[in-house]
Amino acid sequence: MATVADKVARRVEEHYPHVLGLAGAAMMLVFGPNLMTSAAANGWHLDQLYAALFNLSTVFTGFLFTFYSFVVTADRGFLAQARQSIYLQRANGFTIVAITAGFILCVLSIPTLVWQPAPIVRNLEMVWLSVWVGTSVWALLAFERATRLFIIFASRHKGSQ
Amino acid sequence: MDSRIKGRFYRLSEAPNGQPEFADILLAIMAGGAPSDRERDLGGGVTLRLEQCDVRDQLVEGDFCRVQRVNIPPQAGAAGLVPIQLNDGHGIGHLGAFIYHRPTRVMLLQSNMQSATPNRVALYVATDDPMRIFSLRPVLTDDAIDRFRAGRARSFSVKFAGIDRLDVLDDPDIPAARGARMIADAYDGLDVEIKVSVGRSRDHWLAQGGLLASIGRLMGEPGVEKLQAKMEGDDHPLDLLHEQLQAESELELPEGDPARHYAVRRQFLRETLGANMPLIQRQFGAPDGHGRR
Repeated sequence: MATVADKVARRVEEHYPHVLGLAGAAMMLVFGPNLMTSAAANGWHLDQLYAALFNLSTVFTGFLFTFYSFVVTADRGFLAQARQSIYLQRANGFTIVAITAGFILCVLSIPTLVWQPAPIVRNLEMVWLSVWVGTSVWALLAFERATRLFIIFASRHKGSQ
Repeated sequence: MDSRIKGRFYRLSEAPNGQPEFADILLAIMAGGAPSDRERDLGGGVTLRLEQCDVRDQLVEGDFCRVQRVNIPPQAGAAGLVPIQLNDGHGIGHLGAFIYHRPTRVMLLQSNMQSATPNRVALYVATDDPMRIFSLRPVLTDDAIDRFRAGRARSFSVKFAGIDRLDVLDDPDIPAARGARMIADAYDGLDVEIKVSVGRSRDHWLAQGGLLASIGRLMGEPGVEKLQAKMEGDDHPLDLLHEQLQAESELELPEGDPARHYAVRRQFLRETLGANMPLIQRQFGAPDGHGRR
């Protein structure tokens, strides 16, 4: 029987990438001018950050799609046995969310790479950068959540073949 | 139906406290009305009903029918496959005859995986009242019993199958990460095997009385996947789950005559039970009708 802590953990697990993604975008909107001023003063290479997130999102999305295909086509062992379980179905749902988030981050990163925004005041450029930061946080946490679950399922599946 | 008919012997557990005896439950269901009133949904798309059930001295004999109303196979003609047209509410009847000897609580059940299996028979009598729990455990052959009683057991192993449906552990209120670990632990139950052995010590054996009692309790339990005893001097362990008393015969089953079809199968079961009655009475009871264990 689920305890109150379980129910809270269940809600947290379901929503934390979205909530923290939104929080990241909001914080960028609020603290962005100071942060970007500081970055400019210290000579940070923001273009490298945009490129790194773009590369990461493409790798993550490909990895998650491979993971998803592996899970849904496993016809023996633990994964096949667990297919009807809501936990694996939920893990598959989280994987699809992570793939979607990774794809959106990928698409948003292309104009960001070209544009190279570095606003020091709250303007349209800052709004775009906030959306990009929020999407990055959302995609990274969604990836972390899906991968963590995949490791649990895959580590048990390994010995059941 | 295949004309090669096989029957297997099972020993039923005693009726739970306050519950009627197994045969009386069947007879009460039989007296309960039309065939459709005797149908019970056992879950998983299986509907079973008691088609025949009669008393003959100390025997209760009858026929189970599994009514298949979905996933009906086609009929295969010279030109190919044609759908079988069934009237509304009708299904294909898969039959499994039985004969039950009251004094020893031994049942000879026709083997038909499509019809009444031991598990389905137990579920059938439990559908009206879940307290009516009976287990059907295989009756061992004379040879297996003799080997067991004459020998000295040096080791004994039992393997339990875990749950085969992990979705029964679903709880929508717990996080997926914890649920995943939980079903992984449950899945590990598939590998549980217990071995009791005297090890390498000579002149030591397992106590036969206790071992027989343990085997008696474990046999017929649906979760037991392997039950073996290694006897002194034997190269191979005695496989207690697969040394079941059974009989097989090629019968001339009449087509288009369900009553005669049942009569032929019933006769096979009667003869098989009669031929094995000395062994059954040696194992489970005296002819006066008192079960030994």
